[in-house]
Amino acid sequence: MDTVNKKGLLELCVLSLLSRHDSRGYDISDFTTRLIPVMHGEVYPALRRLKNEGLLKTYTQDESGGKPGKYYSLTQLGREAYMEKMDKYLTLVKAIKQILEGSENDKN
Amino acid sequence: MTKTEYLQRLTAELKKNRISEAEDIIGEYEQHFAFKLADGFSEEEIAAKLGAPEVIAAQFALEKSEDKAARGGKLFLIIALSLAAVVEAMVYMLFFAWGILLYASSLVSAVTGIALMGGFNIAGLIPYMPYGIALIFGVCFLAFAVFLAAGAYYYLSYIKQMVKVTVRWHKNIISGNMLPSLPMNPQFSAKTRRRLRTAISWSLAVFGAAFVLGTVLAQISSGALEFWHVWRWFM
Repeated sequence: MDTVNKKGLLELCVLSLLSRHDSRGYDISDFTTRLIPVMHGEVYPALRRLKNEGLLKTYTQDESGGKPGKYYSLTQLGREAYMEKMDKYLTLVKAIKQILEGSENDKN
Repeated sequence: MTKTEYLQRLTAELKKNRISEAEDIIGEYEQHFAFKLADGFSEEEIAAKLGAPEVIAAQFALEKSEDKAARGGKLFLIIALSLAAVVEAMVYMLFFAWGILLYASSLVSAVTGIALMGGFNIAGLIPYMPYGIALIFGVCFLAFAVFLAAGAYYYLSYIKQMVKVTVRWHKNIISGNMLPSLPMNPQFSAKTRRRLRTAISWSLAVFGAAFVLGTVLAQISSGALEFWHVWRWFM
């Protein structure tokens, strides 16, 4: 149930973002913090955590291809972990939705 | 808090939490400031949105312990590894003992060689043979001593490296760090490797040559293939 706490949710969002395209740390921070309530600085520890777990890798892009800087991308392991985490999360959300709606129905 | 203050405090906190590659992390936060400043935010605003340096540094610190613990069974792992370590220690002690035995054999061989060459017959242990042949066998024993010593040195280095590999393996499992595993072969400097190779090949060659030469000369001088019977070595 590691997708339930804030840390896990942030990691899931980071993985999801990176599953679409490689990004720089700042862009990830900027994007996620617009949508979910975490401090801007919390994204970087999350990135490092995922990198240490082998889910992300980094590379340096020079001026030639897009914006220069250190880019994060998913590893194969990261892709698999993302799919698994997403599945777990969506299942959980569905279950909780059922519980919540069930309790709504009980009242009526 | 200004940018400089924030980065200074973060650096200090990272250091306090013993985070590795702190410069790398600081680099990311510096960039964050740079991008946000370019977007027109003030240093104070950016610092406030980042979160307190203590909190952020703590998040870098918790990445290891908590995650690994969450994977569970850490205590079990430590117990299992400790048991493995006991067995490993016993096996390695046995291996080390064998290395010491090799050194001891080398010493015995050397003493025998010197006794033969110097004509010292310690406690009458050395059987009769003409001095010329004793000299050649003496060289043979000395060469064998060098060979054994070099072999023992290589052998013990190998065991030492095996211990290092095992220790690294244990550490990696316990801490969850991914330090690269070490090579199995002992890592000698080029000079040591050259010397070892020279010592081993030359001593082996000298040993072989002296052994054959000594045997042939003994056979000729005693007039029999089994010269030890003629010289009554085992009677």
